[in-house]
Amino acid sequence: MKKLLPFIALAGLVLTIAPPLIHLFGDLPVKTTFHLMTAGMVLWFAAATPWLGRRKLEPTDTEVQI
Amino acid sequence: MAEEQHAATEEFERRPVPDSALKGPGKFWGMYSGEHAAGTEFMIGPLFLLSGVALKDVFLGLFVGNLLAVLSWRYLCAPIAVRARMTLYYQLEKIAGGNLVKLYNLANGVLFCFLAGAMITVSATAVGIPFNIEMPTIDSVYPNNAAFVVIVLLVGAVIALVAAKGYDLVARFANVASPWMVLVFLGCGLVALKQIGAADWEGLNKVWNASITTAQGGEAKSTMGFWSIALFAWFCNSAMHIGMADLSVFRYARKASSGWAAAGGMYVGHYMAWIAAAFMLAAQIQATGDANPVPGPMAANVAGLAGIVCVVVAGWTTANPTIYRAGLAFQAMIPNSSRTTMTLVAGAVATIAGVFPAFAWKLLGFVGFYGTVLAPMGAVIVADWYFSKKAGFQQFAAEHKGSGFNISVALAWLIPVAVATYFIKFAPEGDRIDSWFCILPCWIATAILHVIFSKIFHKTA
Repeated sequence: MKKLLPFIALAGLVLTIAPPLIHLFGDLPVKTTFHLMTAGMVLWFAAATPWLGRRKLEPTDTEVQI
Repeated sequence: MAEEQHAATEEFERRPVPDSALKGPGKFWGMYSGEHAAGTEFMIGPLFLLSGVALKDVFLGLFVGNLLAVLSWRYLCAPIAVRARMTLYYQLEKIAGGNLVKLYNLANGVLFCFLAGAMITVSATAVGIPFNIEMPTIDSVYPNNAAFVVIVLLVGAVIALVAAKGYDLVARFANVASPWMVLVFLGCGLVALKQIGAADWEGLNKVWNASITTAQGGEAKSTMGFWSIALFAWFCNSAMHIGMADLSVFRYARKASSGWAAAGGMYVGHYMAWIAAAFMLAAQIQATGDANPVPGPMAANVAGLAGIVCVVVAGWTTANPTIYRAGLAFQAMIPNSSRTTMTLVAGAVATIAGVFPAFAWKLLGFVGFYGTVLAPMGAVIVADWYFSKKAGFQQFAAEHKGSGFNISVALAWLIPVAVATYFIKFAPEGDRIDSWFCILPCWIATAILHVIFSKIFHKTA
Protein backbone atom coordinates (compact mmCIF):
# COMPACT_ATOMS: atom_id res chain seq x y z
CA MET A 1 0.00 0.00 0.00
CA LYS A 2 2.85 2.35 0.94
CA LYS A 3 4.36 1.97 -2.55
CA LEU A 4 1.03 2.92 -4.12
CA LEU A 5 0.76 6.26 -2.28
CA PRO A 6 2.88 8.29 -4.75
CA PHE A 7 0.83 6.95 -7.68
CA ILE A 8 -2.48 7.74 -5.96
CA ALA A 9 -1.18 11.22 -5.08
CA LEU A 10 -0.05 11.77 -8.66
CA ALA A 11 -3.50 10.72 -9.87
CA GLY A 12 -4.92 13.37 -7.53
CA LEU A 13 -2.72 16.03 -9.13
CA VAL A 14 -3.75 14.88 -12.62
CA LEU A 15 -7.41 15.13 -11.57
CA THR A 16 -6.71 18.63 -10.29
CA ILE A 17 -5.19 20.05 -13.46
CA ALA A 18 -6.56 17.92 -16.33
CA PRO A 19 -10.25 18.94 -15.95
CA PRO A 20 -9.54 22.71 -16.20
CA LEU A 21 -7.38 22.02 -19.29
CA ILE A 22 -10.14 19.93 -20.92
CA HIS A 23 -12.70 22.57 -19.88
CA LEU A 24 -10.65 25.30 -21.58
CA PHE A 25 -9.69 23.44 -24.75
CA GLY A 26 -12.60 20.98 -24.94
CA ASP A 27 -16.18 20.91 -23.76
CA LEU A 28 -16.06 19.51 -20.23
CA PRO A 29 -18.93 21.17 -18.32
CA VAL A 30 -17.89 23.51 -15.53
CA LYS A 31 -19.78 21.55 -12.83
CA THR A 32 -18.02 18.32 -13.84
CA THR A 33 -14.72 20.20 -13.80
CA PHE A 34 -15.36 21.30 -10.21
CA HIS A 35 -16.39 17.77 -9.11
CA LEU A 36 -13.28 16.22 -10.66
CA MET A 37 -11.04 18.86 -9.06
CA THR A 38 -12.64 18.07 -5.68
CA ALA A 39 -11.99 14.37 -6.23
CA GLY A 40 -8.38 15.24 -7.13
CA MET A 41 -8.06 17.22 -3.90
CA VAL A 42 -9.35 14.31 -1.79
CA LEU A 43 -7.03 11.83 -3.53
CA TRP A 44 -4.02 14.12 -3.17
CA PHE A 45 -4.44 14.81 0.53
CA ALA A 46 -5.39 11.20 1.33
CA ALA A 47 -2.24 9.85 -0.33
CA ALA A 48 0.27 12.69 -0.02
CA THR A 49 -0.25 13.23 3.72
CA PRO A 50 1.11 9.79 4.76
CA TRP A 51 3.65 9.94 1.89
CA LEU A 52 5.12 13.46 2.23
CA GLY A 53 3.89 14.44 5.68
CA ARG A 54 6.33 12.16 7.48
CA ARG A 55 9.42 13.59 5.84
CA LYS A 56 11.93 15.24 8.15
CA LEU A 57 11.35 18.97 8.36
CA GLU A 58 14.13 21.23 7.19
CA PRO A 59 15.15 24.27 9.27
CA THR A 60 14.18 26.36 6.25
CA ASP A 61 10.55 25.21 6.53
CA THR A 62 9.76 27.96 9.04
CA GLU A 63 10.98 30.79 6.82
CA VAL A 64 8.22 33.21 5.81
CA GLN A 65 7.85 33.85 2.09
CA ILE A 66 5.33 36.24 0.56
CA MET B 1 7.24 19.28 22.53
CA ALA B 2 6.92 22.82 21.21
CA GLU B 3 10.20 23.87 22.79
CA GLU B 4 11.90 20.82 21.23
CA GLN B 5 10.57 21.90 17.85
CA HIS B 6 11.89 25.38 18.44
CA ALA B 7 15.27 23.90 19.35
CA ALA B 8 15.29 22.05 16.03
CA THR B 9 14.99 25.34 14.11
CA GLU B 10 17.85 26.73 16.15
CA GLU B 11 20.20 24.23 14.47
CA PHE B 12 23.40 26.05 13.45
CA GLU B 13 21.86 29.38 14.51
CA ARG B 14 25.09 30.52 16.13
CA ARG B 15 27.73 28.72 14.12
CA PRO B 16 28.39 28.22 10.41
CA VAL B 17 26.55 25.34 8.77
CA PRO B 18 29.00 22.39 8.50
CA ASP B 19 29.68 20.63 5.18
CA SER B 20 27.74 17.55 6.36
CA ALA B 21 24.50 19.56 6.49
CA LEU B 22 24.77 21.11 3.01
CA LYS B 23 22.06 20.44 0.43
CA GLY B 24 21.99 20.22 -3.34
CA PRO B 25 20.09 22.57 -5.65
CA GLY B 26 17.03 20.28 -5.94
CA LYS B 27 16.06 21.00 -2.34
CA PHE B 28 15.96 24.73 -3.03
CA TRP B 29 14.01 24.42 -6.28
CA GLY B 30 11.36 22.39 -4.45
CA MET B 31 11.21 24.80 -1.55
CA TYR B 32 10.92 28.01 -3.57
CA SER B 33 8.47 26.59 -6.13
CA GLY B 34 6.05 25.56 -3.40
CA GLU B 35 6.39 28.36 -0.89
CA HIS B 36 5.59 31.26 -3.20
CA ALA B 37 2.12 29.98 -4.04
CA ALA B 38 0.70 31.58 -0.90
CA GLY B 39 -2.38 33.38 0.35
CA THR B 40 -0.99 36.76 -0.71
CA GLU B 41 -1.13 35.73 -4.39
CA PHE B 42 -4.95 35.63 -4.27
CA MET B 43 -4.93 39.36 -3.43
CA ILE B 44 -1.99 40.77 -5.40
CA GLY B 45 -3.08 39.80 -8.96
CA PRO B 46 -6.61 41.25 -8.60
CA LEU B 47 -5.20 44.45 -7.06
CA PHE B 48 -3.17 44.98 -10.27
CA LEU B 49 -6.43 44.90 -12.26
CA LEU B 50 -8.11 47.32 -9.86
CA SER B 51 -5.12 49.67 -10.21
CA GLY B 52 -5.85 49.84 -13.93
CA VAL B 53 -2.59 48.29 -15.13
CA ALA B 54 -2.45 47.57 -18.89
CA LEU B 55 -2.42 43.82 -19.57
CA LYS B 56 0.89 43.93 -21.51
CA ASP B 57 2.47 45.80 -18.58
CA VAL B 58 1.34 43.00 -16.26
CA PHE B 59 2.94 40.31 -18.44
CA LEU B 60 6.14 42.25 -19.25
CA GLY B 61 6.50 44.03 -15.91
CA LEU B 62 6.19 40.78 -13.97
CA PHE B 63 8.65 39.05 -16.30
CA VAL B 64 11.30 41.76 -15.84
CA GLY B 65 10.65 42.32 -12.11
CA ASN B 66 10.76 38.63 -11.26
CA LEU B 67 13.98 38.23 -13.27
CA LEU B 68 15.56 41.05 -11.26
CA ALA B 69 14.38 39.37 -8.05
CA VAL B 70 15.97 36.06 -9.10
CA LEU B 71 19.22 37.85 -9.98
CA SER B 72 19.16 39.54 -6.56
CA TRP B 73 18.91 36.14 -4.84
CA ARG B 74 21.55 34.59 -7.09
CA TYR B 75 24.17 37.36 -7.11
CA LEU B 76 23.64 39.25 -3.82
CA CYS B 77 22.17 36.88 -1.24
CA ALA B 78 23.44 33.41 -2.18
CA PRO B 79 27.18 34.31 -2.62
CA ILE B 80 27.40 35.79 0.90
CA ALA B 81 25.32 32.93 2.32
CA VAL B 82 27.58 30.17 0.98
CA ARG B 83 30.75 31.94 2.13
CA ALA B 84 29.61 33.04 5.61
CA ARG B 85 27.10 30.18 6.20
CA MET B 86 25.38 32.21 8.94
CA THR B 87 21.78 33.30 9.52
CA LEU B 88 20.84 36.92 8.87
CA TYR B 89 20.39 37.42 12.61
CA TYR B 90 23.78 36.06 13.64
CA GLN B 91 25.63 37.96 10.92
CA LEU B 92 23.72 41.14 11.74
CA GLU B 93 24.43 40.69 15.44
CA LYS B 94 28.17 40.69 14.67
CA ILE B 95 27.81 43.99 12.80
CA ALA B 96 24.98 45.77 14.59
CA GLY B 97 24.93 44.25 18.08
CA GLY B 98 22.31 42.10 19.78
CA ASN B 99 20.08 44.96 20.95
CA LEU B 100 19.80 46.52 17.49
CA VAL B 101 19.01 43.08 16.05
CA LYS B 102 16.18 42.85 18.61
CA LEU B 103 14.83 46.19 17.34
CA TYR B 104 15.01 44.96 13.73
CA ASN B 105 13.34 41.73 14.83
CA LEU B 106 10.58 43.66 16.60
CA ALA B 107 9.89 45.73 13.46
CA ASN B 108 9.79 42.46 11.54
CA GLY B 109 7.39 40.93 14.09
CA VAL B 110 4.99 43.88 14.08
CA LEU B 111 4.88 43.94 10.26
CA PHE B 112 4.39 40.15 10.22
CA CYS B 113 1.33 40.57 12.47
CA PHE B 114 -0.35 42.80 9.89
CA LEU B 115 0.63 40.48 7.02
CA ALA B 116 -0.85 37.57 8.99
CA GLY B 117 -3.95 39.69 9.61
CA ALA B 118 -4.46 40.11 5.86
CA MET B 119 -4.08 36.35 5.44
CA ILE B 120 -6.67 35.69 8.15
CA THR B 121 -9.03 37.96 6.20
CA VAL B 122 -8.28 35.94 3.03
CA SER B 123 -9.03 32.62 4.76
CA ALA B 124 -12.17 34.02 6.39
CA THR B 125 -13.62 34.99 2.98
CA ALA B 126 -13.55 31.30 2.06
CA VAL B 127 -14.67 29.93 5.43
CA GLY B 128 -17.66 32.27 5.33
CA ILE B 129 -19.01 30.95 2.01
CA PRO B 130 -20.99 27.95 3.41
CA PHE B 131 -22.63 30.30 5.92
CA ASN B 132 -23.62 32.68 3.13
CA ILE B 133 -22.30 35.70 5.01
CA GLU B 134 -22.03 39.12 3.44
CA MET B 135 -18.43 39.71 2.31
CA PRO B 136 -16.57 43.00 2.76
CA THR B 137 -16.36 45.23 -0.30
CA ILE B 138 -13.30 46.99 -1.71
CA ASP B 139 -14.52 50.24 -0.11
CA SER B 140 -14.74 48.65 3.35
CA VAL B 141 -12.13 49.89 5.80
CA TYR B 142 -14.09 48.48 8.72
CA PRO B 143 -15.96 45.14 8.77
CA ASN B 144 -19.44 45.57 7.31
CA ASN B 145 -21.25 42.89 9.31
CA ALA B 146 -21.02 40.99 12.61
CA ALA B 147 -20.98 37.54 10.99
CA PHE B 148 -17.75 38.34 9.12
CA VAL B 149 -16.16 39.54 12.37
CA VAL B 150 -17.13 36.29 14.10
CA ILE B 151 -15.66 34.20 11.25
CA VAL B 152 -12.40 36.23 11.34
CA LEU B 153 -12.15 35.85 15.13
CA LEU B 154 -12.69 32.08 14.89
CA VAL B 155 -10.20 31.64 12.02
CA GLY B 156 -7.66 33.86 13.80
CA ALA B 157 -8.09 31.97 17.09
CA VAL B 158 -7.52 28.59 15.41
CA ILE B 159 -4.45 29.86 13.53
CA ALA B 160 -2.98 31.47 16.68
CA LEU B 161 -3.56 28.35 18.80
CA VAL B 162 -1.97 26.09 16.18
CA ALA B 163 1.00 28.49 15.84
CA ALA B 164 1.39 28.51 19.63
CA LYS B 165 1.67 24.70 19.60
CA GLY B 166 4.73 25.00 17.34
CA TYR B 167 5.55 25.11 13.66
CA ASP B 168 5.80 21.37 13.10
CA LEU B 169 2.24 20.38 12.18
CA VAL B 170 1.51 23.27 9.83
CA ALA B 171 4.97 23.16 8.22
CA ARG B 172 4.34 19.50 7.39
CA PHE B 173 0.85 20.28 6.13
CA ALA B 174 2.19 23.19 4.03
CA ASN B 175 4.77 20.87 2.47
CA VAL B 176 1.99 18.42 1.56
CA ALA B 177 -0.37 21.11 0.25
CA SER B 178 2.02 23.20 -1.84
CA PRO B 179 2.21 21.08 -5.07
CA TRP B 180 -1.59 20.84 -5.06
CA MET B 181 -2.02 24.58 -4.42
CA VAL B 182 0.22 25.44 -7.38
CA LEU B 183 -1.98 23.35 -9.68
CA VAL B 184 -5.20 24.81 -8.23
CA PHE B 185 -3.88 28.32 -8.98
CA LEU B 186 -3.16 27.20 -12.56
CA GLY B 187 -6.56 25.49 -12.82
CA CYS B 188 -8.30 28.64 -11.53
CA GLY B 189 -6.57 30.69 -14.23
CA LEU B 190 -7.55 28.22 -16.99
CA VAL B 191 -11.22 28.12 -15.99
CA ALA B 192 -11.23 31.92 -15.64
CA LEU B 193 -9.81 32.20 -19.18
CA LYS B 194 -12.66 30.02 -20.44
CA GLN B 195 -15.21 32.19 -18.62
CA ILE B 196 -13.62 35.33 -20.09
CA GLY B 197 -14.17 33.68 -23.47
CA ALA B 198 -11.41 35.48 -25.36
CA ALA B 199 -10.10 33.72 -28.47
CA ASP B 200 -6.91 35.73 -28.83
CA TRP B 201 -4.75 38.44 -27.25
CA GLU B 202 -6.92 41.25 -28.65
CA GLY B 203 -10.05 39.70 -27.16
CA LEU B 204 -8.35 39.16 -23.80
CA ASN B 205 -7.09 42.73 -23.78
CA LYS B 206 -10.60 44.01 -24.55
CA VAL B 207 -12.14 42.06 -21.64
CA TRP B 208 -9.30 43.19 -19.34
CA ASN B 209 -9.83 46.87 -20.23
CA ALA B 210 -13.61 46.51 -19.88
CA SER B 211 -13.08 44.96 -16.41
CA ILE B 212 -10.95 47.94 -15.37
CA THR B 213 -13.60 50.35 -16.62
CA THR B 214 -16.36 48.50 -14.72
CA ALA B 215 -14.23 48.27 -11.56
CA GLN B 216 -13.48 51.98 -11.65
CA GLY B 217 -17.13 52.95 -12.16
CA GLY B 218 -16.85 53.99 -15.82
CA GLU B 219 -13.36 55.47 -15.71
CA ALA B 220 -10.20 53.71 -16.83
CA LYS B 221 -7.50 55.38 -14.77
CA SER B 222 -4.16 53.63 -14.28
CA THR B 223 -2.24 54.21 -11.05
CA MET B 224 0.42 51.60 -11.88
CA GLY B 225 2.46 51.29 -15.08
CA PHE B 226 5.22 48.98 -16.32
CA TRP B 227 7.83 50.20 -13.84
CA SER B 228 5.44 50.01 -10.90
CA ILE B 229 4.72 46.38 -11.73
CA ALA B 230 8.38 45.55 -12.40
CA LEU B 231 9.57 47.22 -9.19
CA PHE B 232 6.76 45.69 -7.14
CA ALA B 233 7.62 42.21 -8.46
CA TRP B 234 11.34 42.80 -7.88
CA PHE B 235 10.88 44.05 -4.32
CA CYS B 236 7.86 42.05 -3.14
CA ASN B 237 10.34 39.73 -1.41
CA SER B 238 13.05 42.38 -1.00
CA ALA B 239 13.39 41.63 2.72
CA MET B 240 14.39 38.10 1.68
CA HIS B 241 16.85 38.77 -1.20
CA ILE B 242 18.46 42.24 -1.03
CA GLY B 243 17.38 42.32 2.64
CA MET B 244 19.36 39.09 3.17
CA ALA B 245 16.77 37.22 5.29
CA ASP B 246 17.34 34.24 2.98
CA LEU B 247 20.94 33.97 4.16
CA SER B 248 19.20 31.64 6.61
CA VAL B 249 18.08 29.48 3.66
CA PHE B 250 21.08 29.57 1.31
CA ARG B 251 23.63 28.99 4.09
CA TYR B 252 22.70 25.33 3.53
CA ALA B 253 23.49 25.51 -0.23
CA ARG B 254 26.61 23.82 -1.58
CA LYS B 255 27.06 26.49 -4.24
CA ALA B 256 25.77 30.01 -4.84
CA SER B 257 24.24 28.76 -8.09
CA SER B 258 21.42 27.32 -5.93
CA GLY B 259 20.21 30.94 -5.89
CA TRP B 260 18.71 30.31 -9.33
CA ALA B 261 16.11 28.16 -7.51
CA ALA B 262 14.29 31.37 -6.59
CA ALA B 263 13.13 31.39 -10.24
CA GLY B 264 10.82 28.49 -9.34
CA GLY B 265 9.04 30.63 -6.77
CA MET B 266 8.98 33.78 -8.84
CA TYR B 267 7.68 32.38 -12.11
CA VAL B 268 5.25 29.93 -10.48
CA GLY B 269 3.98 32.03 -7.58
CA HIS B 270 4.64 35.61 -8.63
CA TYR B 271 3.97 35.23 -12.36
CA MET B 272 1.54 32.39 -13.06
CA ALA B 273 -0.40 32.66 -9.77
CA TRP B 274 -0.68 36.48 -9.82
CA ILE B 275 -1.90 36.45 -13.43
CA ALA B 276 -4.31 33.57 -12.71
CA ALA B 277 -5.74 35.46 -9.72
CA ALA B 278 -6.11 38.61 -11.83
CA PHE B 279 -8.01 36.62 -14.48
CA MET B 280 -10.27 35.26 -11.71
CA LEU B 281 -11.36 38.82 -10.90
CA ALA B 282 -11.72 39.74 -14.59
CA ALA B 283 -13.99 36.69 -15.07
CA GLN B 284 -16.04 37.64 -12.00
CA ILE B 285 -16.46 41.24 -13.20
CA GLN B 286 -17.47 40.07 -16.67
CA ALA B 287 -20.01 37.58 -15.28
CA THR B 288 -21.57 39.61 -12.48
CA GLY B 289 -20.15 43.15 -12.56
CA ASP B 290 -18.85 42.55 -9.02
CA ALA B 291 -15.37 44.12 -8.74
CA ASN B 292 -14.71 43.16 -5.12
CA PRO B 293 -11.50 41.10 -5.01
CA VAL B 294 -12.75 38.75 -2.27
CA PRO B 295 -10.65 35.58 -2.64
CA GLY B 296 -13.17 33.00 -1.36
CA PRO B 297 -16.01 33.73 -3.79
CA MET B 298 -13.55 34.40 -6.66
CA ALA B 299 -11.95 30.97 -6.24
CA ALA B 300 -15.33 29.25 -5.73
CA ASN B 301 -16.47 30.75 -9.04
CA VAL B 302 -13.64 29.11 -11.01
CA ALA B 303 -12.73 25.98 -9.04
CA GLY B 304 -15.68 25.14 -6.78
CA LEU B 305 -14.90 23.40 -3.48
CA ALA B 306 -11.23 22.86 -4.43
CA GLY B 307 -10.87 26.63 -4.90
CA ILE B 308 -12.49 27.39 -1.54
CA VAL B 309 -10.24 24.90 0.27
CA CYS B 310 -7.20 26.31 -1.56
CA VAL B 311 -7.96 29.84 -0.30
CA VAL B 312 -8.33 28.60 3.29
CA VAL B 313 -5.15 26.52 3.12
CA ALA B 314 -3.12 29.25 1.36
CA GLY B 315 -4.15 31.89 3.91
CA TRP B 316 -3.61 29.56 6.84
CA THR B 317 -0.19 28.23 5.76
CA THR B 318 1.01 31.80 5.16
CA ALA B 319 -0.39 33.23 8.41
CA ASN B 320 0.86 30.40 10.59
CA PRO B 321 4.66 30.72 10.22
CA THR B 322 4.22 34.50 10.14
CA ILE B 323 2.55 34.50 13.58
CA TYR B 324 5.08 31.95 14.84
CA ARG B 325 7.98 34.18 13.73
CA ALA B 326 6.31 37.30 15.18
CA GLY B 327 5.89 35.45 18.50
CA LEU B 328 9.62 34.63 18.56
CA ALA B 329 10.43 38.31 17.87
CA PHE B 330 8.21 39.47 20.75
CA GLN B 331 9.67 36.82 23.05
CA ALA B 332 13.19 38.11 22.29
CA MET B 333 12.12 41.59 23.39
CA ILE B 334 10.72 40.55 26.77
CA PRO B 335 13.14 38.61 29.01
CA ASN B 336 11.73 35.41 30.58
CA SER B 337 8.49 35.59 28.55
CA SER B 338 7.09 32.33 27.23
CA ARG B 339 7.08 31.68 23.50
CA THR B 340 3.55 30.30 23.69
CA THR B 341 2.23 33.46 25.35
CA MET B 342 4.04 35.75 22.92
CA THR B 343 2.77 33.72 19.94
CA LEU B 344 -0.78 34.09 21.26
CA VAL B 345 -0.20 37.86 21.64
CA ALA B 346 1.04 38.01 18.01
CA GLY B 347 -1.98 35.93 16.96
CA ALA B 348 -4.35 38.28 18.81
CA VAL B 349 -2.83 41.35 17.12
CA ALA B 350 -3.03 39.61 13.72
CA THR B 351 -6.65 38.57 14.32
CA ILE B 352 -7.68 42.10 15.29
CA ALA B 353 -5.94 43.38 12.13
CA GLY B 354 -7.76 40.70 10.13
CA VAL B 355 -11.12 42.11 11.21
CA PHE B 356 -10.31 45.20 9.15
CA PRO B 357 -10.43 44.23 5.46
CA ALA B 358 -8.54 47.40 4.52
CA PHE B 359 -5.26 45.63 5.42
CA ALA B 360 -5.94 43.07 2.69
CA TRP B 361 -7.09 45.70 0.15
CA LYS B 362 -3.91 47.73 0.79
CA LEU B 363 -1.62 44.71 0.48
CA LEU B 364 0.45 46.17 -2.41
CA GLY B 365 1.37 49.27 -0.41
CA PHE B 366 1.92 47.22 2.75
CA VAL B 367 4.28 44.75 1.06
CA GLY B 368 6.26 47.69 -0.36
CA PHE B 369 6.44 49.33 3.08
CA TYR B 370 7.54 46.02 4.63
CA GLY B 371 10.44 45.94 2.14
CA THR B 372 11.26 49.62 2.73
CA VAL B 373 11.68 49.04 6.48
CA LEU B 374 13.46 45.67 6.43
CA ALA B 375 15.47 45.41 3.19
CA PRO B 376 17.99 48.18 4.06
CA MET B 377 19.47 45.96 6.80
CA GLY B 378 20.63 43.74 3.94
CA ALA B 379 22.57 46.72 2.58
CA VAL B 380 24.45 46.86 5.90
CA ILE B 381 25.45 43.22 5.49
CA VAL B 382 26.48 43.69 1.83
CA ALA B 383 28.48 46.88 2.55
CA ASP B 384 30.15 45.29 5.58
CA TRP B 385 31.02 42.15 3.62
CA TYR B 386 32.37 43.73 0.44
CA PHE B 387 33.63 47.21 1.44
CA SER B 388 35.08 46.98 4.97
CA LYS B 389 38.62 46.16 3.79
CA LYS B 390 38.55 48.48 0.76
CA ALA B 391 37.10 51.41 2.69
CA GLY B 392 39.21 50.74 5.79
CA PHE B 393 36.65 50.13 8.52
CA GLN B 394 36.22 47.30 10.99
CA GLN B 395 34.18 44.34 9.70
CA PHE B 396 31.77 42.90 12.29
CA ALA B 397 32.29 46.03 14.40
CA ALA B 398 29.86 45.16 17.21
CA GLU B 399 31.49 41.78 17.79
CA HIS B 400 34.95 43.35 17.67
CA LYS B 401 34.05 46.02 20.24
CA GLY B 402 31.72 43.86 22.29
CA SER B 403 28.92 46.36 21.69
CA GLY B 404 25.21 45.52 21.94
CA PHE B 405 24.09 48.51 19.88
CA ASN B 406 26.14 49.80 16.95
CA ILE B 407 24.97 53.40 16.55
CA SER B 408 26.48 53.74 13.05
CA VAL B 409 24.31 50.85 11.79
CA ALA B 410 21.22 52.27 13.55
CA LEU B 411 21.71 55.66 11.87
CA ALA B 412 22.48 54.13 8.45
CA TRP B 413 19.27 52.10 8.68
CA LEU B 414 16.84 54.49 10.32
CA ILE B 415 17.67 57.77 8.51
CA PRO B 416 16.71 56.52 5.01
CA VAL B 417 13.74 54.55 6.42
CA ALA B 418 12.44 57.65 8.26
CA VAL B 419 12.71 59.79 5.10
CA ALA B 420 10.99 57.10 3.01
CA THR B 421 8.23 56.63 5.63
CA TYR B 422 7.52 60.36 5.47
CA PHE B 423 7.11 60.24 1.68
CA ILE B 424 5.04 57.03 1.79
CA LYS B 425 2.71 57.85 4.69
CA PHE B 426 2.87 61.46 5.84
CA ALA B 427 3.75 63.77 2.93
CA PRO B 428 0.98 65.99 1.47
CA GLU B 429 -1.29 63.93 -0.80
CA GLY B 430 0.30 65.01 -4.10
CA ASP B 431 3.87 64.46 -2.88
CA ARG B 432 3.42 60.89 -1.66
CA ILE B 433 5.46 58.12 -3.29
CA ASP B 434 4.33 54.52 -3.75
CA SER B 435 6.26 52.35 -1.30
CA TRP B 436 7.81 50.07 -3.95
CA PHE B 437 9.66 53.08 -5.43
CA CYS B 438 11.38 53.74 -2.07
CA ILE B 439 13.03 50.37 -1.47
CA LEU B 440 16.03 50.64 -3.83
CA PRO B 441 16.91 54.26 -2.90
CA CYS B 442 16.66 53.31 0.80
CA TRP B 443 18.86 50.24 0.29
CA ILE B 444 21.55 52.21 -1.59
CA ALA B 445 21.43 55.09 0.91
CA THR B 446 21.84 52.66 3.82
CA ALA B 447 24.86 51.00 2.17
CA ILE B 448 26.55 54.38 1.56
CA LEU B 449 25.73 55.67 5.06
CA HIS B 450 27.02 52.44 6.64
CA VAL B 451 30.37 52.90 4.88
CA ILE B 452 30.56 56.60 5.85
CA PHE B 453 29.51 56.12 9.49
CA SER B 454 31.71 53.04 9.89
CA LYS B 455 34.70 55.00 8.59
CA ILE B 456 33.94 57.64 11.24
CA PHE B 457 33.15 55.35 14.19
CA HIS B 458 35.02 52.11 13.39
CA LYS B 459 38.08 53.08 11.34
CA THR B 460 40.76 50.39 11.23
CA ALA B 461 44.33 51.34 12.10
